[in-house]
Amino acid sequence: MLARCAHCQETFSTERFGVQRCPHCGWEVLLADPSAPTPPAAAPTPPPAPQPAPPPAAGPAWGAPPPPPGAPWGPPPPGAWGAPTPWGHLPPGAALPPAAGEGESAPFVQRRTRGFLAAFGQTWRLIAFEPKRFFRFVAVRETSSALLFGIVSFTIGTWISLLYALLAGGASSSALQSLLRKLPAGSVDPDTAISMVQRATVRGVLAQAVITPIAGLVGIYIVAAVIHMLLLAVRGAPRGFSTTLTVISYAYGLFLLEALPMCGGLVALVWFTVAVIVGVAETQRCGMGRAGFAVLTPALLFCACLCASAGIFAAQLGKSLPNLPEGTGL
Amino acid sequence: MPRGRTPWRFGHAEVFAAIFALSFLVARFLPVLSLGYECPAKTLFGIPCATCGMTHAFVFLAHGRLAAALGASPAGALLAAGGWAFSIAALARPALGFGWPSPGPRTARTLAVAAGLGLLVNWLYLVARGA
Repeated sequence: MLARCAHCQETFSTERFGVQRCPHCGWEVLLADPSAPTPPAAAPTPPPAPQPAPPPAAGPAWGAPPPPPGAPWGPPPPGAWGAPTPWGHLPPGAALPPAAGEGESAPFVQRRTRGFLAAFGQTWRLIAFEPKRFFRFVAVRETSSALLFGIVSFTIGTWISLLYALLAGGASSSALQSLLRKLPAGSVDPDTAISMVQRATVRGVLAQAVITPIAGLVGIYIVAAVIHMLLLAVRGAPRGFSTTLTVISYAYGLFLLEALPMCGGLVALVWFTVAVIVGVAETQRCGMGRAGFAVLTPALLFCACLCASAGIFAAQLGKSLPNLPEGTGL
Repeated sequence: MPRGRTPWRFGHAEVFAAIFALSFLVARFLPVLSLGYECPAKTLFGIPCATCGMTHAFVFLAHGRLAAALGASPAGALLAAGGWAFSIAALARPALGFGWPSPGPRTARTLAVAAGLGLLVNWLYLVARGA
């Protein structure tokens, strides 16, 4: 029978099943035996029955044997690259084969068959913890699912952080109330001021909550446009804008980390930056240098502005503290 | 850049057109200049950043004040004008049936480098004007 190596994509003849070496590149290829008994449920799921591998032009990207339609996303056998899909758990120390073909659909693309939460969770885990593997094999033409994934994650993370802001606003209004009551009589009406602050906080949070999905969509497109423009400048975007947009959309999923209190936004930003560099390098096949240039140039400018803003805020706070009236308790 | 009568579909270009149209509505009808936001780089170091004045440029141009928009940020005024023209073209495209130009890799790279250089020239202008 004919088999195809997932590493070099070359076909070769073999008379037996099991693990064997590709005669072209020496890579280990697993051809599962169709007559092997089905293992118990707890054991790793074997790959589907092998078929003679089709010629390289028409075959799947993951080597022989090809997956049947609707194959489960269970973990492949250790060391197997002929697994139904590339998203199962990898054996320790396994090296990733090179990308080939148009790629595989991300788990989130199959959310209707796999369930929304399960598909979302597995996609998020792959992006966060195995970005190199995910972006090497993911199909870059399924942009609408990637956009939905990014917007949903960003929206949930932002909504939770807004909830924190609302709760923190409630706590700080108590402090403001006690502060205003210590001000000289006649200068400010504490009840009116507190009521205005509370209304403004609630309205502001609600307004932000409503526009968050739109802001997510706009943000994804603008970030993708800026990074793609820089990639074009260094000849690093051979696979087009859709590829960059897909990477940004999936990586935007990391903004779910905004739900972490206090440092969530910063953690999400740093993680997002790393995932985008890896993702752009893998999907555009442009290397880490070009990807790093395209991603870090605007990110460094953004960080510089962020640090400067923090400095300005601290300086203004330092200036205003000595002007507080006596007896305010601060 | 091949052109031809193409069937209409809502793609990435239309999303960008919608974003530019949204930017016009925001600049024209929302009091964005009264938010009182100052560029941190300009406030801290006294040097404007490359994108300083773009909000002003968008707002001035949305109110028909071309000279003020160019004075605030030439790149911002050009971006706003180009973006809004692009939005109008996207609206007209289903009726007229023309296709978007698809520049080759070399043209796209030239345009990207030109955009970067344009932003740099804009920044030099802002620094010189501030000095």
